Amino acid sequence: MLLYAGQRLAAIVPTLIGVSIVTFGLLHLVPGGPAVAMLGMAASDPKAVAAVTRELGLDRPLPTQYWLWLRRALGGDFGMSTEFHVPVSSLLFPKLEHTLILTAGSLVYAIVIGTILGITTALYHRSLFDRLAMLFTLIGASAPVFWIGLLLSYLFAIKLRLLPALGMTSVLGPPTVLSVLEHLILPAFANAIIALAVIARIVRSAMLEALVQPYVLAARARGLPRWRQVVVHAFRNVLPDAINITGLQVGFLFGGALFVEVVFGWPGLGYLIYSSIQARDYVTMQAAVLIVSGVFVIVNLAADLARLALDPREARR
Amino acid sequence: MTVLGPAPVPARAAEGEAPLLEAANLTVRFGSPAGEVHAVEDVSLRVAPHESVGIVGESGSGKTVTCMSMTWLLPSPPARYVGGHIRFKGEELRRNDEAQMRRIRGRGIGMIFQNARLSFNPAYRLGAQIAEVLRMHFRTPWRAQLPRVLETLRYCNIADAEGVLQRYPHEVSGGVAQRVSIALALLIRPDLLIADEPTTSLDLLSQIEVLGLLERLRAETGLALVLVSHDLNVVRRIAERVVIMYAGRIVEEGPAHEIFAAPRHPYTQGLLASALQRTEGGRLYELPGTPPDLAALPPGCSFRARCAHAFAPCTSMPPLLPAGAGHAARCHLLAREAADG
Repeated sequence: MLLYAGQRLAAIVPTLIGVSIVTFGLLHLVPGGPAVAMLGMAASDPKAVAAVTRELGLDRPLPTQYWLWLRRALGGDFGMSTEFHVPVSSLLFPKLEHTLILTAGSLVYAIVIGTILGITTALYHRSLFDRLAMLFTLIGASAPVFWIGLLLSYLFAIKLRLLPALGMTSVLGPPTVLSVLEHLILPAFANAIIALAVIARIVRSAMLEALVQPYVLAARARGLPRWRQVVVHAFRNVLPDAINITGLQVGFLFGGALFVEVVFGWPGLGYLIYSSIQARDYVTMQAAVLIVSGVFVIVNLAADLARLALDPREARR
Repeated sequence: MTVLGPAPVPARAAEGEAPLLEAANLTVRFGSPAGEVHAVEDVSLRVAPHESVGIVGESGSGKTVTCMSMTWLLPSPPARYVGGHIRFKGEELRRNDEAQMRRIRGRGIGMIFQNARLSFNPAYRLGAQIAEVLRMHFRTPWRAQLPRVLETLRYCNIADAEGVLQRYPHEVSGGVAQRVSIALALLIRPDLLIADEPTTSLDLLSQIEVLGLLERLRAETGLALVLVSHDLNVVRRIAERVVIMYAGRIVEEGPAHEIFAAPRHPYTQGLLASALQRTEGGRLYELPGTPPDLAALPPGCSFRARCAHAFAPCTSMPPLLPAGAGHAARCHLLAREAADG
């Protein structure tokens, strides 16, 4: 188990290096090069281009540039935002926190509703409820996040006026936990639907398989009540699958936040990437993409290790 | 024997004693795309207290379904209870009454299965699974149960009883797992133990050990036992009474010594010939043909197509005809012999 965990940890190092190279390279793939891209309309002035090139060290060889960029990034220094003229890190980390709040909210929806839906549809396999729920998950998993977000926003915020449509806290009065939660309900649900549908489907099929295992029959024959057969025996063996797929979903929830944040005006990393793309603030965008990739890799690793720890057969390897 | 309940009781059941378990005209069918599968047809079975009954048949003969019907462990749908009664200690069991069934399962009728390792949850240690079942049935703390658990495990020839409790099912052999599952069944103190092919998936040494244990249990505790097997040699060692099933019906039943010494049904004769033969002097005997499709049973005797003695009356289903004290066979030959005098 420890050996395997060590191997997995070691394996993410090359992944992260690859991610950093691609992220770094993105900037240099922009037509005309980074300096021209950043200046936009002002790029017609060669003096300005030369100034930016010098300022960002773009005149040095690429490997040197990469090495300098990486060394500073590892120290938490991502350079200055060309749009907001503040250090990118001071923009990034508060936004990361907001995005993590949105991701966590979506994750709670996806896990709780997805798991309950998966278990109940497996128990009522082939019933009308099962069919309707599966149709819902099929539609949910196929629909784009921003479209669902717009629909939810239109229905609950604009038509029914039940929930706020935009932002993270109320503009009236001081920000409270309660007002954040209130603002979280719609965007988190919109973001959760795909993951919820995927979790529900995986849990359902794994439960269908687990429920017919001999140990569930034996538990029944030994006089255990139905709920223990379902939860303690069948669902326990679905957990590794459920955690595995949930771990993968965390990454996608994190990515889905990008769209949802724009639809619901949620001040997170996704909104930051969106606005930095619009403002041609490639330094900020680059840093945000790097952070997103790093979080994605680490989350998947954590999910993998959790799955191992929960399956004794795997843990003993 | 302090752990395993009352003092030893003479194993032989008295004639006419009230049965512990009684199935009457039990009929169970399964829905399938190919048509309705007649898994169990009109099966009547009595198990007296302290009696051991062997049920023998090929795969698909209905022996497992018969046993699983007793505490209604069948998946339903597709299983459908068509008719008949099941009484346990005089109480009519209603298959759709989960609360009543749960009271009987484990506590009244214990079951052990073919693959004992698979009958334990791979995610939990054996000790935790034993503790869970005992907590559900007795509501006494595990600490108070532990001495009895260890004693019962040792009775079941598990030397390292403490160690086994710490193991996961995949960490023990099939033979050890089967003995743990027998120990667990005993710990709930059932009146009847149903063992469905308990030795089939074991290696030869483990088979001998598990059979020896079941034999010892029979002799020392007076627990009633239903032993299901396709293997006549297994049943011969333990059962006092034997029931032979074919295509969902009982084709012969009687005292074990009579069935083995003087089988009356041609199917039983064929089974015995193929199971007990010696190899010297030529080919192994095998029954010709294959069992019929339970979704499309031909009218008349189900064994007719494979029977060397088939004659005109076999196109109608014969009843179970008496063939001695407590011995009966479902064959028209018996009627002919009786008529011939």
